[in-house]
Amino acid sequence: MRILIAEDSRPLLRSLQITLRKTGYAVDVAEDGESALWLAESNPYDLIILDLMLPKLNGLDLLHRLRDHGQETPVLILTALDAIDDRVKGLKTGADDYLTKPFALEELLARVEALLRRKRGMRNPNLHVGNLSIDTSGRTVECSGQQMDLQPREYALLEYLIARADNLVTRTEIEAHLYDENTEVFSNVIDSAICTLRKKLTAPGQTVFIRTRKGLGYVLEVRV
Amino acid sequence: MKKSIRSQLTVALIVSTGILMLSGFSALYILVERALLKQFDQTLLTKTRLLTLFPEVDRAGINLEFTEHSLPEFDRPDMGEYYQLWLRDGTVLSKSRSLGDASLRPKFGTEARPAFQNIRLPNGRRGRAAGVGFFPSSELRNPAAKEAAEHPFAMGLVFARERTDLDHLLAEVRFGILTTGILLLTLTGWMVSRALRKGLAPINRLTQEVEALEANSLTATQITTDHLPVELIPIAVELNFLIARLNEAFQRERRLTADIAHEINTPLSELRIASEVALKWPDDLEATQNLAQQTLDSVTSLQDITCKLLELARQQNAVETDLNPVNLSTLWKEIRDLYAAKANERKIVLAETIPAEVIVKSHSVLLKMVLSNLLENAIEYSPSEATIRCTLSSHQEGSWQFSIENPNTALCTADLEHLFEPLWRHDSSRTASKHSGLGLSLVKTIATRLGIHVHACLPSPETFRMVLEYPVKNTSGFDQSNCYPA
Repeated sequence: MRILIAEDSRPLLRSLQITLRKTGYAVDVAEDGESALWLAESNPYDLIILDLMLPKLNGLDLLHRLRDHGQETPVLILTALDAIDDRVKGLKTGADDYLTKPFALEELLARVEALLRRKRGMRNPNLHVGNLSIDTSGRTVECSGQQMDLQPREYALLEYLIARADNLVTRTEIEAHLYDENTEVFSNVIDSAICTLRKKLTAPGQTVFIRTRKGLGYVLEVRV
Repeated sequence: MKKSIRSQLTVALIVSTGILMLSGFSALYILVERALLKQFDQTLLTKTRLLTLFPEVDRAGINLEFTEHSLPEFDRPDMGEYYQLWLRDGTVLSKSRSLGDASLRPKFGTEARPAFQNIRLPNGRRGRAAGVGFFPSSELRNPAAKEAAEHPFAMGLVFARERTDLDHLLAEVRFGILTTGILLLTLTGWMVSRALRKGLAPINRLTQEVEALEANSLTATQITTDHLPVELIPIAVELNFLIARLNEAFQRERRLTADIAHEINTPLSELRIASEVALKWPDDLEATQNLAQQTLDSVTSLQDITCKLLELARQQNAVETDLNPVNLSTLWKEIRDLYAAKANERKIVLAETIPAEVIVKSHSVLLKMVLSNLLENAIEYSPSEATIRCTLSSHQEGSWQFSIENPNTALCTADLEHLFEPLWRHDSSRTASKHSGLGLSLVKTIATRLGIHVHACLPSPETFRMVLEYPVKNTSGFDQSNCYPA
């Protein structure tokens, strides 16, 4: 999942970037409204975390422009403006959630998770695909009742493929959703990530497989 | 308990009307009573005069020409008429049979001005009597005339009559007046109450509108003057001004609270999240070290804001300041030396026009805070290699003016009125500057305490100037156009 954080406080931005990356998200950052708008219009983000008081272009104007341009990316407003008027204005402009500073890191992560789930049309944080059970809130995967040892990016890749199960997922889509701007994606990076994931999915009685469609991408299939 | 205007006016109007009615009806009663009494007296007098015609003096003596039979009304007490006739020496010559053993009180006037009196009649009822002294008709005209010249009268006659009918009539008049008065007073009370309710309705409506005012709805609220009478329009207009001023104050307070919240919440968030990240991934030493540095920066920023907010609150609530002679030239040199390194670092030149000695009446510590703040801002917001011009001039009677001028890169005229607002910053996002936006508020507050007027001016779009002027009124005549406050 790829997230854009638009926040002018550099220390906060850095902390959020570390947190979300370590949690397994691809994270891009913008310190002002104009850069944030440019990034949001150039990349298919799964979520935008938006501060309201941004230099050059304030958060509300940015959100307005995004919605005017038909952007449906969920937006979580993260701001020190805690008045009811500000919250109402933010939500009415098109934000999906509103969190005021100071906030708890776990709450932010839970809201991010919930918004991403909502984007995929899911209510239950637990997914069951074949013999895999996925806890999206704890970001853990069990295979036939056994906990799988997955790196954050591997988890993100598996979750992305499961969300699109039985559908073709192109390399470009994987790249766009799982890698941020700062990560240089070499040609074999995705192949190697898929390969690693496949190895971890080869337990006895495994019913979930990742099939390669040559030249096109990958399909996650469940075989009974 | 506080009285309402309505109840006070109701009581006052009813009491006033009552007093007026009482006076009016009393006067009317007196007039009616006099008229009736006059009429009664006239009848009494006519009969008295008639009776005086009967006695006649002839050579045989006094001859009473009438008998009780010819005037039957004097026969019995129940007929209600009485007379008694005296000689001048007090001898009773004759009296009516109706008097029985009783006697009337001899009180006589002249024939032209008879003496009237209210009396208690022998039958116990109230009566009225007319008494006249007179000369009976006489064949001895000349001797009688001669005697008349020596004595006012020869005989005295008192004629009395019951006044029961008159008293009844007067009682009816009194009853009529009293009943009418009570009725009119009741009607007046009802009408006054009704008229006041109607008349005071606009006040009630105004009260309701004022009662409906709430701090949150002041922006949209204006008391409508269309339905108000002319007397209340000035009040409504003044209330609208007050509402506008209150609204402005509330907005300012809200803005300040929001700004404080932002200023404090952002570093608090930075601190909290940095700590949480460090605790969540303690093995990541590089990240932890970076977060420690961030934490220190955030704490420093928070400390700076808190100290300045506290200083601002302290200065706003400070009691009167003792002003002493301060050498402003020396003070300025100290401040300049303090910031010299910072200015040199950015190759900023200070061009000063400061006299060798200017003694002003002020408070050295507070004045130092003001000047330091202005110089720090000038250095901070000037581009590298810029020139900052400082000018100090003193005038007669202890007045002085200090100005500090630096190149303007960001401010416009509209910004000037916000410069002294707490936490206002040209950059609305507050990212670019390390400043909290409290410095100039502090400058303004302290300057006001010291009796100094601070202006922020843009004499040209490229130049920003801060002016301190003592005393408050413009003594030096500097150009205040494009300055705030003007």
